[in-house]
Amino acid sequence: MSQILEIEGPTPRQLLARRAAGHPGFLIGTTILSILVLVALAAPLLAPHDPYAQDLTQRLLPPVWAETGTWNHLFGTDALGRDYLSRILHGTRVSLLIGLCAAVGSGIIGAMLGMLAGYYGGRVDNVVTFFISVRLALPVVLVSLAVVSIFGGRLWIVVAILSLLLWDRYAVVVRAATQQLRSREFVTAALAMGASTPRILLGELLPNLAGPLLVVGSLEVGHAILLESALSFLGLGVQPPTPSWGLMVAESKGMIFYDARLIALPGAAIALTVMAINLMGDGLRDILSPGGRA
Amino acid sequence: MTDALMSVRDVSRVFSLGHGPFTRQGHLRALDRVSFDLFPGEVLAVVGESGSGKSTLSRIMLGLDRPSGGEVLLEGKPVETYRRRAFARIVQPVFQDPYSSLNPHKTVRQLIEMPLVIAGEEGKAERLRKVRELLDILRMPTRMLDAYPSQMSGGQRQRVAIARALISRPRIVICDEPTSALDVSVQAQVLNLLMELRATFQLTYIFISHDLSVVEYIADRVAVLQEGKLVELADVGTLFASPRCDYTRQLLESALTIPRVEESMRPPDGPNL
Amino acid sequence: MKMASPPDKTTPGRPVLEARNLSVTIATPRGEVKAVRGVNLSVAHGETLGIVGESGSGKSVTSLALMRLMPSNADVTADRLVLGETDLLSVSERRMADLRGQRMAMIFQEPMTALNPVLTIGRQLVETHRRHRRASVAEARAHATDLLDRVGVPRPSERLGSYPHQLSGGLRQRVMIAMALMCDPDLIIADEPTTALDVTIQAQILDLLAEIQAERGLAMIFISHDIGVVARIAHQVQVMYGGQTVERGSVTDVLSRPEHPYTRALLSAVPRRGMRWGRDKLGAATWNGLGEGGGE
Repeated sequence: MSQILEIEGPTPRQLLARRAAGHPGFLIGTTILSILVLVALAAPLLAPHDPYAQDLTQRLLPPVWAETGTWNHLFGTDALGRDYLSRILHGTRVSLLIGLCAAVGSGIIGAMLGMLAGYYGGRVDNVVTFFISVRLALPVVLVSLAVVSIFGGRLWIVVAILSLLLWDRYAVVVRAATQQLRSREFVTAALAMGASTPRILLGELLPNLAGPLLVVGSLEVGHAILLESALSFLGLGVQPPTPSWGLMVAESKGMIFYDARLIALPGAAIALTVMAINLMGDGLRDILSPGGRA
Repeated sequence: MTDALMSVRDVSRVFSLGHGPFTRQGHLRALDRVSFDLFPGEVLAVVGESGSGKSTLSRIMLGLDRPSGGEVLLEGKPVETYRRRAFARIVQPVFQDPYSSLNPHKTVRQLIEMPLVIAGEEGKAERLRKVRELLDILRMPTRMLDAYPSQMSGGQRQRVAIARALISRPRIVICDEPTSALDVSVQAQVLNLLMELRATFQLTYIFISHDLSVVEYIADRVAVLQEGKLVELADVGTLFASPRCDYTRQLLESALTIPRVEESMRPPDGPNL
Repeated sequence: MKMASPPDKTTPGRPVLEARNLSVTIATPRGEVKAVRGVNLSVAHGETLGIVGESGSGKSVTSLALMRLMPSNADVTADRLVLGETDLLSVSERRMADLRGQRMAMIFQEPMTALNPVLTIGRQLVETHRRHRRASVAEARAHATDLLDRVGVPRPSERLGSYPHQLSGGLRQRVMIAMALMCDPDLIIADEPTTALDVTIQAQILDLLAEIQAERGLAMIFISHDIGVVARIAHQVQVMYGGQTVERGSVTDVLSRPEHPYTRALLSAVPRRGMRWGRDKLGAATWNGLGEGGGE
């Protein structure tokens, strides 16, 4: 009877772990991102100074690698005499928080619309497809400009704007995946067992959509961080004196020819973060997609 | 004869086909005034080729689709009067492809207990007790509880699907080609198991199949569908010995059999390699 | 190249295809899998060899290895692998491509995936022919029409303009057979060619294959999981399990007097005409312990 009794092979999770361990891009991305998350969490402990404390006597001090630099201000100070390292460390918090919240918020909107469209098809699908087209036709900057000028540039408003502007990719991916899953017999089986529609959508379909959602989600975090920086640079995002990388670039844009570090350092932080996230996202796609059944 | 458990009365199902810019509107009559009764304890086989309407019939009998005409009675009452959960209490499905009918992201325990979770009447401990009991009856070890479908063979998966169908103690199980995706040796195990379970659980089967030798092995009565019409319905002995309808005769002639076993050939007692 | 007269079926001549000690090892990330282990087979003109086995028995890998259609992570070895006079182990990939189609042709389970959906079947038949034979389009078309007629496609000249999706499953499989015959091969390898078809169509296709095979004196290797199908069409049968041949012989011998326990168990699991639950019982669990590794 050994054939009946045997359980073969690893669990789906073990299989994923094994594939992840063999994917260098994913490992590098995840490592950098983990460090960034730790930095964000521990920013008050790591930062040598208060990121908001101005000292007009200490304006535009050079970084430690310049000839006149000191260890007291590792990255120097900005035009208002604030410690630049502390501001960049605290900026990690703002960027990751906005990126994550916006990705989750837009993920909820996009996944819901996509699942409904894919599961019901027909008229529901037409309506959702119309919403997707409308969303794609909206110019992000113009909408942000309007919303921010009405409601102001508080952090949660930026998150809300981004959530409402980034759900389209989720909806497209989830809709296609749901259409495929809908014809699988386990959905029919659940229907025949008397399962309600919410149970089928959330209990049966959602776990199978976790893969594509994670992949899109990770890439959207990067997207959101870039957008937040762009909006802040234009003065439409986070308002001063909050230490946001985009805002820091904007505040220093006049200095670009005199003190390039003021732009290069927050710019590098943005690039590093987004690169790490994209490496992880691409890795996730490779890891999750080959085992479509896993 | 006892009262029918399920009655299919004059059931028709018409699908309207595409009406896009390039296609003419058309109708497909998948089922055409099909009538039969299902009696408690019997195995009624529904035989037909692709396009015969057997899948449509199975969907209607599972309450997943409504007939365009006619009605289906369950225990004497029209199926429309049942709520979905109440209907599922009485009728449960086993599908063809256990690779597709089990959600790949759920463990064996979650899969089997699902009908109970939907019914929402028992506590967690009680559900687990029932799942264990059923695994025991199906001769599957309890360490399978936390396995995922991807870790199991086709036969094991089909056992899980059967366990899931039986956990809420239904009266009717509708098997839609339950063995056609399996190897012959596994098919034999599953067929024998289904027949043993019929006695244990006092089940009535509707067995949809294209394989006539399988049908002859397990069915009490056979209904033959051709292009949506019920062309013949008879006891299995009568149908195989003297089919009335030409189409049935053609089916029987096309079925491939192997020569009968000679007396010298007895199944081995065990592995003796 | 063709033999002058079809040989007598009962006394097969020299084998068309012969494989000795054929092994296939597939490298996977989790280690090497020996899919086929030391299989011998030979098939002569006018003979059909049935290969029966369950999933994972290596029967399909064997057929692909014979055509040298294995992916690069597979290692095929054999003491001898000969098609007529040609040693298939040493010929170049280019020569092999010529041989496939010209001297050996394959019929697959799902014609819809084997036929190109965007080309008419006439075009596909003609291309196959012209790739291997220097024939004019008109000649090739005439040949294609004749063959479609022979395999029972109604109104063959009109059908040349049809696309695969316009045909029913049975017709598509007939077209596949015609395509396999276009270059007059010596050997046809059919891998589960009737599994996707309805029973009545399946019987028709099997009869057609048997007829054509006898008429042209072809050698045919017919792979199936269905013992009933093999019993209907094959002369010789080879039962595979775990990558090895466990039993071989004439169909009548193997099916009526199986010697190997696996063959016996397999046969006892197949429902036969007149078997009824309660009176007869399918032998299902008797060889379950046979287990991994072939047991030898």
